[in-house]
Amino acid sequence: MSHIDFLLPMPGGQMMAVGWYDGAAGAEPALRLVLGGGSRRALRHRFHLRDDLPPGHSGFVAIFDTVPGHGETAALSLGERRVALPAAPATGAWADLVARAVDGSFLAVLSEVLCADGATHPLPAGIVQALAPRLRSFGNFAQTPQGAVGFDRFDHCPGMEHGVVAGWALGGDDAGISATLVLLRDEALSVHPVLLNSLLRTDLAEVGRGFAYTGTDGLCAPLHLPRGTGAGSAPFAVLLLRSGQAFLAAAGAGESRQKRVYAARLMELEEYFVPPQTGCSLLPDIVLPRPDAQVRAHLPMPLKPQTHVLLHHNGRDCDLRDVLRHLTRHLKGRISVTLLRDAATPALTRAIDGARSDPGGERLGEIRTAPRPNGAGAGMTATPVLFARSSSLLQMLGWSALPEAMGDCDAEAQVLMEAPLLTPLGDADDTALAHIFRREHPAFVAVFPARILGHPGSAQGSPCLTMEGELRARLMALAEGGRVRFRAEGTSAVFAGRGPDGAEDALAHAFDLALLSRAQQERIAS
Amino acid sequence: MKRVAIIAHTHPQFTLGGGELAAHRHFSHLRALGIRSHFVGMTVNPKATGRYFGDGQRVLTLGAQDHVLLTGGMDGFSMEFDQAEDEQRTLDFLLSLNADIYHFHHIWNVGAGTIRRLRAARPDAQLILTLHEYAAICANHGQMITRPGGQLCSGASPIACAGCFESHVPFDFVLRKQRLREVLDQFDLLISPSHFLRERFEQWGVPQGRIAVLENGLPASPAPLAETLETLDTKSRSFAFFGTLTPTKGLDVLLRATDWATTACGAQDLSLNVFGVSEEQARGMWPGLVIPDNVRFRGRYRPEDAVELMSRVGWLVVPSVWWENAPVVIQEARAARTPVIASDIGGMAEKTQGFGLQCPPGDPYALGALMAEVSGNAKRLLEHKKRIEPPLDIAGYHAAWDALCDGAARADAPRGGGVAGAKGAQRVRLDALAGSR
Repeated sequence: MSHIDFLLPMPGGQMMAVGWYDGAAGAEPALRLVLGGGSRRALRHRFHLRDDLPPGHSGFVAIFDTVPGHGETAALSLGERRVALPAAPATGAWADLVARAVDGSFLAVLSEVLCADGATHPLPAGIVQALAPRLRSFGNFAQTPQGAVGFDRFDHCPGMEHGVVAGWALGGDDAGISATLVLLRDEALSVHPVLLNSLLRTDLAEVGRGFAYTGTDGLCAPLHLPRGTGAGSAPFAVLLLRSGQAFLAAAGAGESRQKRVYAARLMELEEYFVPPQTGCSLLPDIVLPRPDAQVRAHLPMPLKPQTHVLLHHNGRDCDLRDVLRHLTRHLKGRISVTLLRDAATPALTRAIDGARSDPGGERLGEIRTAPRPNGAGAGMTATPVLFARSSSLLQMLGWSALPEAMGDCDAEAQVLMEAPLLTPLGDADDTALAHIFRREHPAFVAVFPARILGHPGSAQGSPCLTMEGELRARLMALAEGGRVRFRAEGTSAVFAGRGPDGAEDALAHAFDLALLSRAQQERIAS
Repeated sequence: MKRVAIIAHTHPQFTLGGGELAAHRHFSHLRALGIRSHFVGMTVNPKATGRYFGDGQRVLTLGAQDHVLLTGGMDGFSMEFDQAEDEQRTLDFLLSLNADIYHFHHIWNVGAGTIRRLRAARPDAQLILTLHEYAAICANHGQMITRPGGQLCSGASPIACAGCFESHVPFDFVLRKQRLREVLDQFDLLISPSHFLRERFEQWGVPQGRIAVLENGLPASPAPLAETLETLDTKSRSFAFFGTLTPTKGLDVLLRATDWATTACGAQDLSLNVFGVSEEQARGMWPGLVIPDNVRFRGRYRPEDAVELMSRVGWLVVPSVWWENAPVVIQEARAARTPVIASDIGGMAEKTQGFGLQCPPGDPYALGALMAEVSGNAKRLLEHKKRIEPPLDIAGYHAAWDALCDGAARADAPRGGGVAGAKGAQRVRLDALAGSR
């Protein structure tokens, strides 16, 4: 005995039959569409368990590459069984499926249409619209005798075009688990790989009784979201889990996070991350930017010496006065400064006033604050730009010669970096030093033309949280082409300064270095 | 004739520390010599506002060219004023004095920025600094003792100093050192009242020969009292402490030592007179500390009475548990011909060489045993008294100071008046001019 529950129209003139028959799932007879005098094999089909059927019965879905014509007699054959098709598939059948199908059938359909044969099969918006209410109805926990799944978080960050789903999945002793993440976003469904057994979850020891608990039963799915879409709709994630029997749980609507908050949550998750295979990472991809492909041998020096300083002041706010005085003592000509801060605190303002009153302070031009200035920022286009942390300026020697040397330097940028301990520098050339720069992320002072910083808005698309991280990325990209002149600083000790925002700032730098480290690892691997 | 400005971190009419007293004494001497001079005692004392100063009043003139300048607070770590207007006000006032020589005692309450800007504004003037403690080296009130343990510290380093101050990172100390080295470079002449302090600054990085050693000057010493072995026998049992209620002065150690000398070492007739501290203050600072019956608290005393008061006792005890520099009480004891028992460290060890006795700091048992040993020994007291040489008097101090100024002026001529006015590179060995030991 067999029965057709739904006959669904598919894109490309295809058709899906959803039904059941009185045979066990393992038997799996041949599925054919009988049409006129002939029959056609199903393009794809799937048999599955259904809780609503008596033992010995199985559900099925089958996709055929043709649709019966109007008034044409058609039937489905399952081995020796034959069932007449009730009618030609209609668009409203999808809504009918959403309204009436048992979970087993719904999941089987979803699996088959979205990710059968290891490929993603896009669905028309109309079908997605029909499916969406049912998808959104699932809770964040599901359990069957064969497995259980739960979701803890789903964050995404529009600025990074990245998201991450985290949860856990426990399977039965004798059943392997496979999982796929289905993302509903902007009237489209997409599927994403899930990293099973990728997070330490020792807290599941009690929950895991009855399942094959391992301690690393956490799952996560880093999502690389396309740019420029979905501004108005929160993505919604659903996990399709198969463990003998498929079932669904929803991660729910993703919570949009600000960059720093998102980075903090990612870094927190990374603490528990157990990469299931080499190269897996929770972090967003960083594509090393290629600033201005045109090679310019010389930075034209302005008639009067002047330097624009991008200063990451990592001393006490009141100590900025000393740093600015240090600049006026060591740099010739006029100096303008962008303090890489959101705003000037009262102590910073007092320090700036103090520096202006100090000997040499009359050469200080505009001092502004901006956390992520770009190359088109006022006053930066015609002057060499010097980037440094205060701690580097005060402790590294030789940096003050960099701006003047730009006029005679063939490279696009010059970097003076702290030589990390145990780094053999004997006859290190630019290539060797560039490698150290990429690998060790040492403290550095850099001088470069403003255009290296990119155009307005370029920072928005970067996953880097800090100006320093962004600049490191750009210098690494330039160094790939041999366009950076590196020098190593041999001072005995360069003490790190303090972060103006404490732990939050430290995390931002750690996040950026993690991104850059990953980029470097991928570069080596490739 | 040169015009001189003497600037101290406070005024002796407000506080009675050795630095401001030495500074004001020199100022008075300059006035007596007819040298045009000003004294500027800085104060940030909030009690002074409203009580001594009217609304908007910043300068109080206490006598001829004798001023107190009121400013706001200062960050002891950075040695800079919290408010820019305080720096500007101080600079303006100093410039208005139009001095040829600006002699500072302490940077504290004056401000590093004030010094830098004064140097730039007056490249032709001589800038002199007397170092009275280790504030440039140590952020812990310049005492070079660790926090919170109170152990003696023998040298600053970014990591060690960050260990003392949880709120600071090592880089803060790198920056602080650079700032204060820069400030010291602004001076034509650096004076240390002790060799010990000079050595500490040289270990810290000030070039050798940059600091001259010149002891502070005291008023001329009175003639020695006529004494016999009989009067000395009584006097030898009399000990005294002169100082303030500061934990590092070690009064608690001395009180314990007195108890130990009396109860365990048999010096039953020994007595201790405490000047500068009341019994109530001592009990408040050290609740539960046993104060023996043979201790008398004499309360506050006037600085000009110190020598006469000291001459009445057999031994002066200086039990400080920090390094000290050149304690004025030791100079005063020399003027009074009173031998000193002092901790065997730093400026105390240096300044009691030859005529004093020394014991480990913070050890009441060793100190008590030593007190008991000399108590009742008139011959030993006489022997130590004979070894005492009078301290440098103010006239001698001024003569040496004058020679140092001339030497520094010769070393600097011709003066270029550069932007930063860094002076360190062109120093002669000034210690040779100071008649140092």
